[in-house]
Amino acid sequence: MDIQIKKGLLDVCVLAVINKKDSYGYQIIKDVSICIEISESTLYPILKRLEAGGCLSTYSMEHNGRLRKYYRITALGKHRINDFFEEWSELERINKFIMQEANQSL
Amino acid sequence: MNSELYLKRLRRRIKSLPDNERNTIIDFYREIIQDKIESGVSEAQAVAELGDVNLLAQKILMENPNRKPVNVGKIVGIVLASVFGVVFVAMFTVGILGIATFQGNKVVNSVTASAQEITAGNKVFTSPEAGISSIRIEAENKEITVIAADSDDIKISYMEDKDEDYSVTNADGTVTLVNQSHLHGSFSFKFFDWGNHDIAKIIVYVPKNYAKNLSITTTNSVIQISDFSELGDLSCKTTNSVIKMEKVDAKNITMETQNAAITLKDIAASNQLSAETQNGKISLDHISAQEISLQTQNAIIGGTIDGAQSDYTIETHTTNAISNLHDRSGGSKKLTASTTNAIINLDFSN
Repeated sequence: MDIQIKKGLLDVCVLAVINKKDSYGYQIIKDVSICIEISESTLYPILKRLEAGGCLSTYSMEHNGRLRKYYRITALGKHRINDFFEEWSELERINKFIMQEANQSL
Repeated sequence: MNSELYLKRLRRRIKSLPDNERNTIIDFYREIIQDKIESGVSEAQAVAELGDVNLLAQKILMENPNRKPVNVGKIVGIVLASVFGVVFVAMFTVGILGIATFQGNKVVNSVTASAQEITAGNKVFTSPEAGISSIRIEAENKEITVIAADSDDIKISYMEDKDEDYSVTNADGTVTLVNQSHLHGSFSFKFFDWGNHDIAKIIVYVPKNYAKNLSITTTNSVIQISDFSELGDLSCKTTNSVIKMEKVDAKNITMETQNAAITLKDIAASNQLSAETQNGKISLDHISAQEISLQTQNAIIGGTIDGAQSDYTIETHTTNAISNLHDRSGGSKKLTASTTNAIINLDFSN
């Protein structure tokens, strides 16, 4: 898949995963990997960017004698997911158009 | 490898990042390793899954715009050790396969680093410094960092992408990189652009004793350069972003930006030094030149100039604000400073 498209999609995938439930690094990787491949070094900048953009907030919680960092979606993050759906329906419309036009010339 | 050793090595290789950023990164990877171990993976396996520490460090550095400007020079060590190590291995591999050949003065090489850990489309152009009298970089929306390298080669590393045109040439003693970005104004949805940050970078490695000309032009992005002792003419032009320069000696230095600061530390020009911006501060720390010209609007000009005030013929202009310097003539050197609506506060080290 085109790398830019994949990056945009990964952001939304991460938001979708933490929208379901607050989550932490390794769990997010496991959840997102079901759909798209994602490595630790790809996830880090995504989380950082989403946090900087106000789409998620973080907090630390004790787990087995150590601190684990959790990520929680914000209202803005939820909004971002909705934006994605809107953009996607627009993309579908364009996809349909491209298919129709392409079919005519076949 | 044991995880603490791995993290220690990673920490050392990303030294150029601010401390808090570095701690966050190390904590992130430590937590992942611990969680993997907890889920039943062995420590060695958990560490191995993160891949080569040099590649990971390189990826982190490329993604991170927050490098400490003071330490740009130190990146040389890290990057030479890691990036080039990898690239050389890649070049070597490519060489063995007979895909690329090194030939005289032609564009020497263009290598796609093979390792998966590096973002796809990572390119490195290499040319020997010998015979080069000018290096020109003309980019759009790319942060440009010029690093003084302990090498005899000029190397330019950049990210090729479908929305980015790059042409690199080496002719008549001039190495030229021209980049055009098709992103602006093109048809693209918002979410396609979210991930564009790490393609927006060019790193130029120049032998630290390079004594010829260097010209950097970009837009909307930071230019950083440090640790050169005998450059010829140096020109840096950008817009809406900072120009940072440290420990540079050159014949002539010209800097131009807009809406952003120009920050200079330990800079000497045997002939002219000129800095021009708007709505951005010009900060000086140990600057010397035969002719210094500083120009901004709506922002302060401040800092220290090497030498005695009596060395300089001084001409300052500010409207609606004050200057701590009085105009004077008779100096063997010349200083011109002008701003509007903001103070000029310049000291001399003697």
